[in-house]
Amino acid sequence: MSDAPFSLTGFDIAGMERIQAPRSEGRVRLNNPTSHALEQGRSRLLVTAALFALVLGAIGVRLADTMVFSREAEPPVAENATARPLPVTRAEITDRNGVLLATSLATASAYADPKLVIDAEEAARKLVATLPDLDYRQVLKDLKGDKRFVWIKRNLTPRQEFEVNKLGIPGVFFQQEEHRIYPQGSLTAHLIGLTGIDNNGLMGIEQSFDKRLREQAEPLRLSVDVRLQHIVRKEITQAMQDFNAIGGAGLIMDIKTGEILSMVSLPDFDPQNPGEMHDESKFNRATLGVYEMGSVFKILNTAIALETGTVKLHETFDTSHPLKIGRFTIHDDEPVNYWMDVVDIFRKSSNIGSAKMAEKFGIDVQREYMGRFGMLKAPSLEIPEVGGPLVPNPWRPTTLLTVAFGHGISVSPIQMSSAVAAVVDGGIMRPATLLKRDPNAEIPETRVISPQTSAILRKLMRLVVTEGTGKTAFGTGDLKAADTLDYLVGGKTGTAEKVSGKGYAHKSLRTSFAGAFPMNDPRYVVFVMVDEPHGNKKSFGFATAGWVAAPAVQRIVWQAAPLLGVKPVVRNDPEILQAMAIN
Amino acid sequence: MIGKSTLVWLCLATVASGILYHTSYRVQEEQEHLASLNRQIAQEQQSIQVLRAEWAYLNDPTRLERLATEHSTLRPTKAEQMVALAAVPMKPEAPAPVPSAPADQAKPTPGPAPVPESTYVASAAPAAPVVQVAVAQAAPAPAPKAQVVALKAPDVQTSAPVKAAAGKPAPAVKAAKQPERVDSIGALMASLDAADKAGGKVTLASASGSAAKSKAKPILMAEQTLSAKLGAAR
Repeated sequence: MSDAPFSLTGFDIAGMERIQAPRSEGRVRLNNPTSHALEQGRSRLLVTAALFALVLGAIGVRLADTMVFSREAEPPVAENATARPLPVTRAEITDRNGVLLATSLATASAYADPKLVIDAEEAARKLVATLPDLDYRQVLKDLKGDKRFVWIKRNLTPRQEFEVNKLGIPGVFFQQEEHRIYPQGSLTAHLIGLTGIDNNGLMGIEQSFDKRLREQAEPLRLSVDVRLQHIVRKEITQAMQDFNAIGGAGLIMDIKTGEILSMVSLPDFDPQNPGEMHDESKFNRATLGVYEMGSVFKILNTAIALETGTVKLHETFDTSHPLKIGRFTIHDDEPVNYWMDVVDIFRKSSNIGSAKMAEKFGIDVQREYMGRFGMLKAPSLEIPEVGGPLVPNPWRPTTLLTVAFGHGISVSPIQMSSAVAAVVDGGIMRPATLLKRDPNAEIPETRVISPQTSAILRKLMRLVVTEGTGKTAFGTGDLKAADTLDYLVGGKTGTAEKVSGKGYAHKSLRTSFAGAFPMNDPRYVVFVMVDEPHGNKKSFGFATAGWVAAPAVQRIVWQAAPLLGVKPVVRNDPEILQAMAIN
Repeated sequence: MIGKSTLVWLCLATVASGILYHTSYRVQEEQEHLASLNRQIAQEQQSIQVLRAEWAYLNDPTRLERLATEHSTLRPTKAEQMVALAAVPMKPEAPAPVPSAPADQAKPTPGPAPVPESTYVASAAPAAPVVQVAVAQAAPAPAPKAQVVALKAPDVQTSAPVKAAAGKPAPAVKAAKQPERVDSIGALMASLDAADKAGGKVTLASASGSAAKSKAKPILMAEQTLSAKLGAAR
């Protein structure tokens, strides 16, 4: 304590004053009668001072701690926005070139609290003027209601949000929501699938990669190419229109990698408006549907016969009479009255000949090879809509004969394409995939037939196009000239009668064409199926694969090949003819 | 009297609090700025997202195809429009001579139409990379048909070879009627070169005009192809 006359603090902090002033006689003396009271007062003051000192000291310590030592209160570096994840939570899906197929947008949904709306009529009028698809009476009813929350419109476009905001109606608010957008519309409908109202995958890639899309932010890259997708979809739609068909499916597959470059199933749907979706359009014919492929199966039948060596290429079979087995009779579409060799049986698509070839190698061999070609179990593919084949059980002698020309066993177009890819590409089978493969990744390969058999099959398939059942599509009109540039498509037509009840309906057909190009070094498989086509004037009333599916494949290849970087060659170039000649 | 020490302490306290307040306000300001920038970035990211979706939507192949059909003469590339890189001749160094035609190119080029067919035939080098000649793409609807016809009848409109300026035999072809519109970029480029030579003003009209001029000259019919374009400055 200081006895200086005036001190701001009451304390002589530096002790300066005491030094300057000579010490006077103490005013307080021992044994003074008031000393007791003074002592008491002094000690009380002391206690109070100590208390204050303690509290202030504690505060000081805490202050120093917070300001100097503690680093928790504020991050040393300010966080910037890019480090944060985007407000949307579901990853994008793109095609192989990075074109957006599905993306999520943060959208605003407008809602109102009717209690806070001052003039309901004016508000409703303004809202309907801004959002013309609203119904004035409905909005007015909502705004006059008793609820505290009514939706006005969900998922506004940014422009609409701005307009509504500009109206400045009290009681109208926005809620941020996430909305899945499919910019390509129905182009990849069956492939991508769709999501439900709470953004969970319900179909296709959206369903099978639901977890992946939620958890990882980087886009999911598929193997498809939207340009090819468009071409295939356009041409199958065209074929369906021309022949008044009820459905169709198409595939393009990269033989060397198994990547599916295009997968179309028609009719399709708009994933943006799933409400309008019918069961028929929801059905994926390319992967979920299994069908009796008809003569396309002769590719496999001939491959088995030649591979096992039970039949020689120029061995002849009597195809002049229908083949009777049990209650069935096997006919040919265009019966001949002479014996045909394997080349002719394949070229003219003879059922009788194919059945007789199958008789030579027998049931066990057929079943084993069908297993190798992946015809007996469901293929592995990255979407949930994958159909398992309908395999004959038991495998009777009749079955042996019918499977030879593609009846009695039902497989999906994707299985068929994979098998055809294996047959033309030196006999190596690769699993089909919908995801873009890493170019360095190893692709699992299994050998199903020998390269020699594969080479013969390539020539046979080319022959179908130049001189066989596919000739109408690939060898007429502008394509006829000798020096026409050609993509060397080879393939096999297939026209199957649809099952109706216990038998086959002769008038309702399913036509397909399984092809590959360029046949001297196959790179791509193209498969097209058209369901229940009806003949028209142009096709002279025919609705067979040669008139329906094969021309669609021709149009697809002629548009897709330049995009795929396949070089056209002169059709009658001696080298090409030599390479494709059967000897 | 206020002690000196008190004064010193007072001053220190004032300065310290002044600096403290100043810093604190600065930090507050910066934080507000940062927050607004962050909001802006988030907004921009959202708009980028919207724009990307819009871009993908507008690039829908179906729509593009419709627009291309309506507004341009471009059509999907045909097999005949593909040409091997080796088939594209190098630009001649000297301006004067006629582009030396390889022996097999001496085959008279048919018709007035875009000529990549012949260019292709000239050099079907198997290993050479393929380039697309978009040059002669277009042509109005009936034209492609005409091309094919021309291809099938290569003797149409051709006359005997005459000596060109450089003395090399080159098949002279009476240039047939030129389409009214400038349909191929190749034709346009050729005409630009010609116009350049004449010092004339380059217009679309002159483009078709130059083709008429070429009627008089005994020049290679390859005029409209890439190779011809290079030689057209002659």
